[in-house]
Amino acid sequence: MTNIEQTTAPSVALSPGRMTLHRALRHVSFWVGGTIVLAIILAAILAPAITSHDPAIQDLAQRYIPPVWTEKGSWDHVLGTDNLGRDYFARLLYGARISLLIGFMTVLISGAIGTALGVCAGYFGGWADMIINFVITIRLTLPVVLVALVVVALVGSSLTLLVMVIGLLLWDRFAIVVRSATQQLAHREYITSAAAIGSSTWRILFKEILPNITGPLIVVASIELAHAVLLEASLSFLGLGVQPPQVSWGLMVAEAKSQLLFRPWMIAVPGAALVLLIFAINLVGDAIRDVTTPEGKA
Amino acid sequence: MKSRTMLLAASLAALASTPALAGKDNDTFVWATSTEMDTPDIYYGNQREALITTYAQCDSLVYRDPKSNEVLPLLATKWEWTDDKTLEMELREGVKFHDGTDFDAEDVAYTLNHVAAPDSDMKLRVIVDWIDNVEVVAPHKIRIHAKAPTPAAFEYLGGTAPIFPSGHYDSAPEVPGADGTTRRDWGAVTPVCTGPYKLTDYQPGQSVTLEKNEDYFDGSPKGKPSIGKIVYRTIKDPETQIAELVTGGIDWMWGVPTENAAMLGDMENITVVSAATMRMSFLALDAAGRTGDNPMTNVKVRQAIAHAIDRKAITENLVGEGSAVLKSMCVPVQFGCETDVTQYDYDPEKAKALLAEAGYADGFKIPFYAYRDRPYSEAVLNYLRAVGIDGDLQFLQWRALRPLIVDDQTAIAQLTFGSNGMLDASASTGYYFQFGPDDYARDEEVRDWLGAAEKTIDEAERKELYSKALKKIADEAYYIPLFAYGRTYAFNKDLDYPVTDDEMAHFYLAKWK
Amino acid sequence: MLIYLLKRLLMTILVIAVTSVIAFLLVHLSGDPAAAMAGEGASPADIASVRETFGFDRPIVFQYLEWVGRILSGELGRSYYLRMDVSDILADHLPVTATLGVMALSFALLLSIPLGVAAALRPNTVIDRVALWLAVAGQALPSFLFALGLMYLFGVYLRVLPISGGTTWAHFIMPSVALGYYATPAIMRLTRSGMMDVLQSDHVRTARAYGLSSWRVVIRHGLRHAIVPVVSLAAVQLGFMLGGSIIIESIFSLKGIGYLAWESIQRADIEVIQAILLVIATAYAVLTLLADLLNAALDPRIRIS
Repeated sequence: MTNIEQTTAPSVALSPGRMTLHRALRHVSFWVGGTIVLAIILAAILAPAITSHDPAIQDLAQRYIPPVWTEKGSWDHVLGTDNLGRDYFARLLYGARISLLIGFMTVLISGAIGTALGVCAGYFGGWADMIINFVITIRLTLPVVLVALVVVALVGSSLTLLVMVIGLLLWDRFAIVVRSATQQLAHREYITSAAAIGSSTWRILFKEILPNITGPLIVVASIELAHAVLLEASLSFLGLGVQPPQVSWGLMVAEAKSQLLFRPWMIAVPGAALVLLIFAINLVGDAIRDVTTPEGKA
Repeated sequence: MKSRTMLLAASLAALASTPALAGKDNDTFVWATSTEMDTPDIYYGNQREALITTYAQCDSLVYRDPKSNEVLPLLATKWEWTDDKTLEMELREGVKFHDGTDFDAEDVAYTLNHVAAPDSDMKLRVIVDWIDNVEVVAPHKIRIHAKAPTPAAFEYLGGTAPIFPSGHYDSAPEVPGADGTTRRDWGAVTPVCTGPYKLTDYQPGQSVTLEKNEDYFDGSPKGKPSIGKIVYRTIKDPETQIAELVTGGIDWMWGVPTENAAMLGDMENITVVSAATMRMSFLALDAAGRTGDNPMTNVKVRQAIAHAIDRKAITENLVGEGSAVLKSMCVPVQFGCETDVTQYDYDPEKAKALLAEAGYADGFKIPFYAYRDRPYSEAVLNYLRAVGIDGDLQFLQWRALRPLIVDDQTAIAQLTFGSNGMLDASASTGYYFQFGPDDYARDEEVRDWLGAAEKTIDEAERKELYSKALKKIADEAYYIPLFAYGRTYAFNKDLDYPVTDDEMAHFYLAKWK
Repeated sequence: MLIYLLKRLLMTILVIAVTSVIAFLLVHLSGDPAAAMAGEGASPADIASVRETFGFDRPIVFQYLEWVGRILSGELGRSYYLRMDVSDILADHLPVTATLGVMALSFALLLSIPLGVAAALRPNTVIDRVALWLAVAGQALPSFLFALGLMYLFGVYLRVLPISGGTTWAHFIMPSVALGYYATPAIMRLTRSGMMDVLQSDHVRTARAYGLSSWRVVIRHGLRHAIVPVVSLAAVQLGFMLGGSIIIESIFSLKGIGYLAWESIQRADIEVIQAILLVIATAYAVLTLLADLLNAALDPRIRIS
């Protein structure tokens, strides 16, 4: 779970952003992954249009209706119903909202923290670099799942807390990658000359550095997006994730856990959705990594 | 290199210890639950797992037959209240502890005086708090001096009060306490008892092994033990327990989800039985206004809430087999539990009307606290939402919720209470209606009735007092009783053992078929 | 080198010190530990007595300093719940997690290094693509789903592997696979890129030009160099596994550190949680230190910067 698969930074894109995008568009993985992610986002947004069922409405007389492809299934509940008689398909669609929301919100938080720290460390170097490096090391030393569990178990879970905790835990990779990318840039001629002609530090950071590290940033964002969705699922699996009436895919798997031997489809459906989403995000991330890295190296 | 050494060590360890095989063929009965046992000493443990082990391993002064609920002689053979506060008991002769020493009056006095001492650190003080001291009258005769008339005394002297040999706690380790002081960790001493099974191995947090006591005395109401070995294992995930049960890795589990009971029962090697328990689920409403001005202080709102919830549907469809709608703030098997109190039928329209009368025609939003069995809380919330009460579920661990309750923070909370196995209405009423920190009703009249009942020996008079108190609690809808939990047990088909209504497992009564 | 070593050592000690503060604050600043320890149904007097017995009523700084003092004198404290010294509990649980971690890592290495080498030898071919897709797909499967699937298939359906507990080595197979596969993509990628770098380097080209057989070149010259960063990554991954085994250990009822941590969190066994956070952090810090030192020894440039 807690895992950094690449502590080394992808090299900075030498080509301008548009060139990168152009190359990305020719990449098969990018298309496959992108289409899936987009489809899931659309399904989440258009959920009320796709199904007429309310994911929170219970009907205790209609519990555990099997999905349509089984003998007792019906088109009324395509994927059947859950332990409280709620429509499983509707829960799947609305669950995507929370899973994606948590993913994107935490990446925003962790991305902001990580990028700010990384740029500072990389650009200013010296003491700033040392202190930030120290902070990164501290963060890496704390086991993510364990810390998240302690906080959520003791404080009580809510969507906000979940986003905050995951966001505050997953910024390390952003910081590491941005730091080394900035370091490489900081000594480039156009940066040093910008500083020489008196551009303000802020201007350099925002106009010169940030636009040129978007490649690695997007790659890390994709990794962390997948990571956050997985972490939420793991916390939900242990009963400390999303709280009802909200529903996420991780929570659906957790609630269906007891049905492993008896109604395996209840785990398989949200489980497959989760795997598909993360798989697709990783494909996109890999494709971008591929095209932003010279010589086709990973 | 290091990894290879470690692997080698692991495989050597594997060869050394073969796992206990479950089943009739090995005369080894393996049972599993999710909770790690903190100590097998029930005085310091207060866990069902410890109580189950204690019943098999230990004897107490009296024994309550789990089927008839009758109090029978066990280590005490005869008793008599010589006055309001003095209980004289004659003890059984010829009984031996598992370590070979003889049982006598000194042991009873030692054990009870030890735990009754104010600084004994005992977990559930209510069990011994009534005892002033225990006096040895003769080698096999004792006198228990109570602090006040205690009608519920035999509730406390049953299975929850095992007798250990005198000097038992002498070996308790010294451990660091606060401020550099030390204290004795009494619960760390493994119990020595006189019961039908001997404890032969205890691995904290992992397993407990009991073996048949061949010398168990004749004439015990517990009977002679039959199965050779009883092994307890902690298996965290219920799914894993089911998988082990299906494949014969364990012989017994409880807490099978209702929806799986039928399918599990269909398997050829497994018996599934459901039974009632004493754990009740209810809503605690802030009638006293402890959280400040809130809708719960209005009796119409409280009654509306009672009318809004379909307790029958939740009980039958969700909580399932073995559970029952709870009519009053106690369980019917308890002495003094009046169930003929005002009942609020499921009637959402009436609930809405009552809310409108109370000035909440458009409903209101309020935090809703719960800590156990989220699906049940979700169901309750959905019913409340249907009449316009928008509960914001705060699902917490008990330790996070408990301080909020004490600090006047919870206007509505769904709570549960197991009465600690006590068959007396004082258990729940004492906890929730006698102005303790958990009392959100704070009704002085109710408090006084209950206080009087606790000190009254006369049974009819006590009943009358409890009846009055429980009726007023229902009329005012201070707390909304929801349901009494059921428990579903699944076990090896070769096992012959009585499933009882006390949320206990009396394994010493079990036999192989 | 000595200065670098001292610097890194100092850093590691500082990191562990700061982590200890965080660990302490985390478990002390939320909820009421006394209420948790007294348990459900406990009266206020019971809770108050617990609070006093364990000294929770004193200022937090004081409690922290006392804890550190005890740790430094070699005492990790005592579990109020299991009624054992924390050091004894850790001695029970650490070997289980260590075995699990080492087996999981071995599984990951056995799977990912050959795949990575194969991908590097035939870049942008079918082998490379398949390896990549395997890696991406593997990363997408949550470990708890994978673990449940394994248990269902091998434990219940085929009945070839024991389901729960850790009494024989066979008990460790499913948990190791479930924990280890998650580390494979990272190791595979690093092996692949490392191999590609080495294969393009001058001395491998020279070796090839001298007519040494292809496999000998790959193993003797290629893998030997490419493996160095993999070793340090593996060390780091091992550290992560120590912290990440909670779910796996809980599913398979393996009584290791992760299981102990989760149980202790649920019953607010503060001394144990603190000790575990500290042990895992220390293990991670030490493993990273070793990895860094290894890298420094092999690559002199690091020492200077």
